[in-house]
Amino acid sequence: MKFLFVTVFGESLALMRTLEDEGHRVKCFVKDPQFQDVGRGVISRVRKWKPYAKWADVIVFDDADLGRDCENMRSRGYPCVGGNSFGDNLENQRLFGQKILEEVGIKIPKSRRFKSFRSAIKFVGKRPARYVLKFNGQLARYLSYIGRFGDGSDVVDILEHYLGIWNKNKKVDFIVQKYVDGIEMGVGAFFNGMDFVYPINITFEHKHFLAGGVGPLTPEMGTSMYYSKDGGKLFRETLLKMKPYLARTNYRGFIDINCMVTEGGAYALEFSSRFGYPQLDIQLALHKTPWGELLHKLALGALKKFDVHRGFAIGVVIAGAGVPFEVSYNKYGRGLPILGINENNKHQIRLSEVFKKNGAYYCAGSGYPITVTGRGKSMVSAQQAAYNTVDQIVVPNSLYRTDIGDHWVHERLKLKKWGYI
Amino acid sequence: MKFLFVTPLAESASLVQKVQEEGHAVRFYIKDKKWRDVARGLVPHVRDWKKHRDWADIIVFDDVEMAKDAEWLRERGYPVIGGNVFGDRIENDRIFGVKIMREAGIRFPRSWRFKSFASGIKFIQKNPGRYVIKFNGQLDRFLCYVGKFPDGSDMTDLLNHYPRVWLKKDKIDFILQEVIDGVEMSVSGFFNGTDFAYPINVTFEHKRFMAGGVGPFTGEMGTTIYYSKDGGKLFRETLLKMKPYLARVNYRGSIDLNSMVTEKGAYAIEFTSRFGYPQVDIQQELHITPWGELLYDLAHGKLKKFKVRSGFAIGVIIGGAGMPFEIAYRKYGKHLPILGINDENRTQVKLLEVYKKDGKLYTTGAGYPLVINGRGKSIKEAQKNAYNVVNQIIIPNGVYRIDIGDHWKQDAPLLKKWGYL
Repeated sequence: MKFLFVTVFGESLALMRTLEDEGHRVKCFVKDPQFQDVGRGVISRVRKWKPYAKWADVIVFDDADLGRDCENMRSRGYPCVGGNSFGDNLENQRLFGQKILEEVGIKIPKSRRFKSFRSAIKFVGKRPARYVLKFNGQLARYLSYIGRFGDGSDVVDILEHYLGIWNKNKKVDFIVQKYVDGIEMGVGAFFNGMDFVYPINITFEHKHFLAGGVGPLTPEMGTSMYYSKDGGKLFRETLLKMKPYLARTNYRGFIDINCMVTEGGAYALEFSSRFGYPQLDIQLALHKTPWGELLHKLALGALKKFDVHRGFAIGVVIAGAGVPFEVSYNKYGRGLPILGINENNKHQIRLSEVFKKNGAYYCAGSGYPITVTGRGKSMVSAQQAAYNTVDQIVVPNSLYRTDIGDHWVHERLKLKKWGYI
Repeated sequence: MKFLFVTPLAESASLVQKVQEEGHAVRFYIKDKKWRDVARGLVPHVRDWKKHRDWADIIVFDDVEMAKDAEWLRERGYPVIGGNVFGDRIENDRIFGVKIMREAGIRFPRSWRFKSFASGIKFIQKNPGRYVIKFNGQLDRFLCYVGKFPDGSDMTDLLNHYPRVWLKKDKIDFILQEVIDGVEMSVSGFFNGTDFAYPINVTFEHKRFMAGGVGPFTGEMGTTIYYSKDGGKLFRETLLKMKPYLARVNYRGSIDLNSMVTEKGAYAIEFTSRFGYPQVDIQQELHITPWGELLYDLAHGKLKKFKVRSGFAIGVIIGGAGMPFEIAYRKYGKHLPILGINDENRTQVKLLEVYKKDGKLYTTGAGYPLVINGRGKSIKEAQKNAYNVVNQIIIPNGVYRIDIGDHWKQDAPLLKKWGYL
């Protein structure tokens, strides 16, 4: 079959490679001008995607910015995988997402929106507790702050600091969210236009830059996951409640909700109305049903279930030097060679932000060139499989966390006690 | 007493504060403009150190590169610590350093010098093995690379890559050094002009950015130290052999030699002819003899021994976001507030690249604002004490390694077996 991938950053490169390995043909469009080197030499790329719509048997929209395009093509009868504008709004507009969560009866942490630092300082001063600050817009990731002190005094200090340095011409718009002490856990699934497709994917993200959960937030440094037959308690408490909304909008793609799970239930944090990355790369390691078949059926609304391996998979992101900051990655990490991929380990190497030249792979994009996956009956054996290969790969000065999956040792017991596994 | 500290990069900032806490008068001169705000608001700064040389009882030069000034003063009878032309040369001029090691009978790894990448590649192809590449001159430490593949193919790949990113203005001048598999360990002592003062400091550095020894080299992410009465086998095999050389040049200050220790003996790598950082910050945790007294006696050539605590100390660097890349640190990590220091933990918190404004502390310099010390009878206890405080300190998006001292579990049995403990 023929697959056309419409992407913003080329993030689904590993899926495209898998489809080629299955014997399908793939063409890829990358929208963002800064990511034009992603996939070069690895996959057949096109400068405009619309002329290839008729060529393709299935069109895959791999990101949350593309919902409207996907919707248009679907309404014109093209078999498409990907979200829709409802999904895009869920992910990109926090307030809309929160409104829907409340409507369907999914628990969310209490939060309040502020347009001035002074009023937030006053708010926290009156209600001392642990809070999280989240900003809207570009710099959001590095301005976000997860409070640590029980009296909120660190959040007040940070707010006072922002008040002092803030550019007066810039709008202030952020939320102060009550900190929920629990275990971060995501639940994701394919939706076929009318219903969820089983099994359900359960993930544990590692967003912090350094081992132990230290340092700034990154897009992701690694994920551990497994598939659950029915999604269990977390699925019932959260994502399953979205079914009528997704059916109403004929959603055909992957969707995920990230939550804080506690003894008193799950609190939803945010939607990903698209494939997750590197979630998708790691799913590749667990799926038995060929991806060509899965995507084709999903696009046609005919996918009811699919086969996966039992057990666990983890993915370790190997990032280029300078990550997560673009200024330093562009100077120190970009363009460096990726060495050590061989016949024995290549099925565990999921290429993402790379280009290929004269037979060798190089770091491209924003600094996340490969994810190394490992699968096993237990979390420990999945870790061993992954890190065994991580040790064979060389990207000069590259970065990775050595503790992806370690969380399982203590979290498993709590999750069992609370009924989530 | 009165102490004048003369420094290019303000690295001795915490030692200056320590001496001030002991009740002495201090003045701090920082040569490099970029570092002038370090310790501002914490100790008195001066703009022209020469005007204060007669004020001071003791003048401390805390780095290599200002040796001529120091020697000029010493010749005129000023009591001076640090700053020695010979010392500078053995640290900065690799070829001279190796020549002296050979003369003194100190073992070191074999290395070969190259002035073109092609000749380096040819060499490795003829002599397959693991090598370290080190560049001579003032080039980025991020170009250094420690070979991983036994056939040297990763190094040849990298050498093939370098011409593509090499700036025309930079001379190509590097060495390939054989990789010695062993335990990295160093010894350092205070030299009083004629002899070493005892006890001897034994140090384990953690230069890599991430836990597990992953990622680019940094200035340092943390260190484990202890004091040994006589320095043991490593001291005898390496640094002690430098005594006649140091006596001949009337060396007065701290000097360190790090080595790869193996079953067959120690291979010396490089000299540090000055205080080590954060070594001196962590030494403060173990010293009983007041620093004012130690520095005074050292400058006057009278220091024979000093008192320390038995047991171990570790220091954990808390770095600012973006480090070790200055270009990213300036944008994301500099001028951020430091929170969580209180009366109970402040003795363990060493302020390095920090300034104080309106009663609050902020990050500055190149990205190494704090060292958190912990002391204990065992490494484990020292770790517990240090990380207990690390967890109380907040620098937004700050980075640190969670594994400083963990090496001890594997290293201690080997070192014991080989006779180094």
